[in-house]
Amino acid sequence: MSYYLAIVGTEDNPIYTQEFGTYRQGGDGNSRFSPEMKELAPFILHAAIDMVEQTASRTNQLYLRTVDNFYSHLVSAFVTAGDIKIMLLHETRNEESIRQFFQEVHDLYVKTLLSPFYFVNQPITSPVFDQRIKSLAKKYL
Amino acid sequence: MFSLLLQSFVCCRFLSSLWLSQHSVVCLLLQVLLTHITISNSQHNTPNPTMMKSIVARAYSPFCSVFATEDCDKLANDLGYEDLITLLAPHGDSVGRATVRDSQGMTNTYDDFAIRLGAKRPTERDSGGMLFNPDAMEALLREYIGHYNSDDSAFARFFAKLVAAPPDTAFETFSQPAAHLFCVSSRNAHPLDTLQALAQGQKRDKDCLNFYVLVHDARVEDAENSTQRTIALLERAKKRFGLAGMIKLGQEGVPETIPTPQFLTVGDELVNLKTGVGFGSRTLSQPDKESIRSLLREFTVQHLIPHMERCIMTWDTVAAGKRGLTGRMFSAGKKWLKFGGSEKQEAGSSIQASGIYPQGSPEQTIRRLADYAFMLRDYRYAYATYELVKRDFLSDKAWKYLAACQEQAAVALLMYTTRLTEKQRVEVLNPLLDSACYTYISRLQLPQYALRMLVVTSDLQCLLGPDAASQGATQWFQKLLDERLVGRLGYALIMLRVSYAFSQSPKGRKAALWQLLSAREWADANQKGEMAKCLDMTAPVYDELNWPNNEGTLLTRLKGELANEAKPTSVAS
Repeated sequence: MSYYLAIVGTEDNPIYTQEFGTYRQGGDGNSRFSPEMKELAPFILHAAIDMVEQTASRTNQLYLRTVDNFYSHLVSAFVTAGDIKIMLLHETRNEESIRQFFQEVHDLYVKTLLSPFYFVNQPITSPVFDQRIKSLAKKYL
Repeated sequence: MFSLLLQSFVCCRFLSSLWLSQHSVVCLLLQVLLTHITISNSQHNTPNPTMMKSIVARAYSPFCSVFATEDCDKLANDLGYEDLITLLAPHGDSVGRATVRDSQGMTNTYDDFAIRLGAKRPTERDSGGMLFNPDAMEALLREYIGHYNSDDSAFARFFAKLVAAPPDTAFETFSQPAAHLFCVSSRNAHPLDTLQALAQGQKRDKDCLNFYVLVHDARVEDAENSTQRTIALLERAKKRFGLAGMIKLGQEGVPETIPTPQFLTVGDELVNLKTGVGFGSRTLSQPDKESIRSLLREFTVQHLIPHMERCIMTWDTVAAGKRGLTGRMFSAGKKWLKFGGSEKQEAGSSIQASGIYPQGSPEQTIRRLADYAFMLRDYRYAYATYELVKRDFLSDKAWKYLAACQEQAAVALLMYTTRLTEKQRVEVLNPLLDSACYTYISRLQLPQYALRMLVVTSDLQCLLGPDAASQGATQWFQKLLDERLVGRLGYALIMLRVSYAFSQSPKGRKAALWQLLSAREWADANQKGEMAKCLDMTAPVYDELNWPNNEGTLLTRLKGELANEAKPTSVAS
């Protein structure tokens, strides 16, 4: 199973994107998306922002669960208080793990935001952040 | 978009500093924004939405079978047509204004009333094979895409072809003739006897109107006398047959281009396009055209519509039996008090062992009643009637009849409703489509029927506001893409339509995604022109962002392909 994570800023700009696979069921953590899916994945997430905005306006929860689907792929989303969208493209429905994963990613994001050298909507390029996201993925997905 | 906002804002600041009040500045700003939004919505190259309703209404118009003698065909031949039917058929598409009385006794006037004129088609009593040949449809789409630019969208043509000329099957009665037109020309030595012989050749059907037409040939020596003779003949024909009319052909006048009939079958249209008559190259002199038009108008308004209204009134008594409380009790009784020996067949049902309802059985009659109401555009009544007879088909397990009935019920519902709540959509419309879709595809292996149903109903849903379009229509469009009901070009066209359905909601992100997907399909089908159009369409959304043009995305790849395509030609030129 493969995942595509994107943290999207307030102007539809990607702050951080990462592709990874599962470690469960003997997976090695590498994504197995087909080449077609790879080049399409950012567009699917971008299109799902429509649904994220719609769902977010109807609930007071930050975790929006699965907001959209595209053929066999699902899109889950989490919206922070600052309207930053954390979105995940995945293949199987797994709400609880994804909720925990999003929660931790949110924590990481907030910690990044606390840095005086980081501004809202700025891309995150820190290798440490990368490392932590990967270990979170290993833990939950 | 952003730059425009900025521009208009700067402009407003400037104006406000001059003389405008703060309030009017806001108004102006809003107006500028609104205009921009409307423009960006209308940029999608889509046919006028109400056009689809009109296409459905005219495609399911009363069918009249034409019987012509050889001398009529010869006369048409002299004017450059294969036969009389080809000459008459295009004029049925626009009969003009007609007034119809509906089941509530209200009169409604329709400006675009049409009738379908054609040869009597063989009745496919049991098979009900393919609606059209999928390969022929694909070839036809290739022709359309090559020929039509964005104004006259290829999709509208595709849509019209799907609903055009439904075959005369046992389970779908739209192509059972409502009237017979018997034609004889003035070249015939014994016109009245010939007409009678023609009419006697047909099975006597009291539900079918017989109309007799004298075709006068104006290109004779003694024109004045000849006309007088035909008029005298017409009087005699009226006395003998009751209903008769006359057209004059071969008159001098300015030649006018005659459009090809809109609702030809896929095969016929393809032949037409290949031979070059497809895009309106036939002509007819203006007085001839007027003569045909006025006869058809007279026939439709004075005879055909009243005849159909009478049929509806007569058959309504059959339906009334089922509709009332007693009818329901009776049919419920039938269900529960099943006696031994009639295991396979419901007691009281008229279905035959072969799974066909005979002509004149109550079920068949009610279905025809609903069809007639549909043809006369009384959609509310048609919907109620389809719902009524649906129950019988279901209890008899007559799947073909059931699916066809559910399809028409869904279309009728969408034709009259102006608002579809989410509840209605989920509880009324979706079960109809779901069940009919399953029956067509899995039980009957008739995927073209499923395609027709899904395209028509989804497209009509696009007219019912952004919610119905983006949730209802797209759901069924995607279903038909999943089921692979269309060929490659059809696939790309449908994707464009999904994009159109999404484009009705304010944010165009989903619409852009589907434009992009469509562009990919066009690229695979080697239609670079269409692909370029789609990529242009995505520009308002993707050009404001940086990432879509990064290395490795689909957009970059497609743009690269387009640039590569353009290079060799520019070198050559």
